[in-house]
Amino acid sequence: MSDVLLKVSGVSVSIPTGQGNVHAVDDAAFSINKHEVFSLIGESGSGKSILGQAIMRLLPPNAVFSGKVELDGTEISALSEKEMQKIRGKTVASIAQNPYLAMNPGIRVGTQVAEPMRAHLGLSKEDAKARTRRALKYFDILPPEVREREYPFQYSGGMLQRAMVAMGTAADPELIIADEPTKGVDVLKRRNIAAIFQKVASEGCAFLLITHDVGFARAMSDRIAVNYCGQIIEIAGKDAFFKEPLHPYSKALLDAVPERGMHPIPGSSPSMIEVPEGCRFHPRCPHKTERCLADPPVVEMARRCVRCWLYA
Amino acid sequence: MLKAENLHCVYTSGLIKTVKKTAVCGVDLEIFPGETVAIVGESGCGKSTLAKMLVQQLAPTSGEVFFEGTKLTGMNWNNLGKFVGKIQLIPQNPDDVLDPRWTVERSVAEPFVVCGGLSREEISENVDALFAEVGLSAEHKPRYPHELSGGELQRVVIARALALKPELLVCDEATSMLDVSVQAFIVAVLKEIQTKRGLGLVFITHDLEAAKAVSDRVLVMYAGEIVEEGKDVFDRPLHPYTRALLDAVRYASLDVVLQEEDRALPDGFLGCPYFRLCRERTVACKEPQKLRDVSGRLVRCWKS
Repeated sequence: MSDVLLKVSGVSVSIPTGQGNVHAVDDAAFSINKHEVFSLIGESGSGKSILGQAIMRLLPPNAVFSGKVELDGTEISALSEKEMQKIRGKTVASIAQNPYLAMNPGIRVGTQVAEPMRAHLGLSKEDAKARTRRALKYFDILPPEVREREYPFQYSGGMLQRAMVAMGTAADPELIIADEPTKGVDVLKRRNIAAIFQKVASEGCAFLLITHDVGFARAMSDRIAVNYCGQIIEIAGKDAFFKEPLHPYSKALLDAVPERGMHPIPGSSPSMIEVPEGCRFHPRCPHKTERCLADPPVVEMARRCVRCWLYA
Repeated sequence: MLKAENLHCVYTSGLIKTVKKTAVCGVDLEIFPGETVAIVGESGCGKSTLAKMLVQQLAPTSGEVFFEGTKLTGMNWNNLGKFVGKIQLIPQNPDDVLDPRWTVERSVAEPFVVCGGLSREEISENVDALFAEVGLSAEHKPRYPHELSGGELQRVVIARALALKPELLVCDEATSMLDVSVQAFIVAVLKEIQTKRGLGLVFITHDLEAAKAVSDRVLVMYAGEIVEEGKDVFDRPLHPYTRALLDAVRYASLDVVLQEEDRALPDGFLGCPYFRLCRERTVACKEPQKLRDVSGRLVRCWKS
């Protein structure tokens, strides 16, 4: 069997709204290997969360999806909803941004953590309970016998986030999709999230981190993809990316980080309804030429690729 | 320019069984004209309470705030009116302070209307100038808050804060909800305005790298107290808490996970508030700690 766990090819999502079609994802293609931490970084509103939802098949009902998502060799984008339910939580789990919104406030945390085990692993009530206790203990939710009987509002934010990771990993998934795990969280809590994610990743679980936090992506990931206005414009290994980003937008994004002097990117983000013609970054790009009005090619290089005419 | 002396703030809740929580205890600080001061600390350490007390939105339980020698705390509302325009707060979430049913133009014009004495044309000219100053175009003016992006809204709030020609801007986590590129833009706008108008800037944040990039002087807060203050805090941290914060930013020593549940100190404990979490603690840390002057730096740790 090959090493590729998730393969996304030619995925496009558009969402019809009152003002016109929002082209949230355009021709996304990437693959995640087993045991790999892959980050998708970009500004808010660049379509990265929609891409995550498209992989999980949790898009809003009016969204128009096209393309192919393969997980472990099976094409999950073609599965029926019933078959998909067997995969969600079992092979791919997702961790939402706000744990208070993602957990059911009326069900005890222990029951919620045990649910994927009961549903996907077919464990009996007793086995699931014992395993839940072990999982809570593993994530420092102590004492598990007391904590499993509590409701989400009795937990602190950091603890509930850990409980949610426990729930996500309950059925031993091979891939976890985490959507903005560090948004609005202070540095110490962010470090804690990084620590528990690394704990899970060290046991062989692959991650797709969807984030706008460049520092977090840098600390966590093996490979990085940059998303701009619905398109993935660059994919590279972490070290290569931070040493020398190729796409002009990647360069501008890294220069905007406080460590590099907070240089703002000129211009403003384009509308997702009327996207710029050709290269989507060309109105703000310092290197733009005539040819940028045509769609830029995806240039493949050794272990990285970039969507820009400069490298064609 | 702005001086705070021994500020305390205690929140009480409950009528029968009163629970008291000290948010800020004993903060002294001074801000000079044209200076950028960053206040850093984790969420819940009393940064926002301090900001509200500085701009007179919240009356301190005890302690005093002076603005250019005039005591603001305890002043009656009519007299305070002259000063509130001089110190302006930029909040974390612009949605909270803009009326969703007003166009942003009306929101920015409101301070002029409240202060009176200007004709409609003059107000409109002033609003245009403010919009240009923060980098918004005329097409943004008739829009409602929900039609603008986070970065644009934050610029509207800055424009409104600048309306009454303030001498001090207090930015309470003004950029922490925004993306890096937008964050960089807002900081650039603030810096430009500062050099043009010579404002004092208080930049409250939990992002140490942003604080480092922006400020002339940094104050580190923990549990309502200032634990370290100085110019080169991040290059040479002296307090163990500052070091822990810096490690967290650089994702060093990932194995140590701080548990928020383990922080509670026993009642009546007067020693260092960081006692339970400090890795370098000794028996002497149970004594109350004072801010000590260590080569031009104030540190609340007897070891430094």
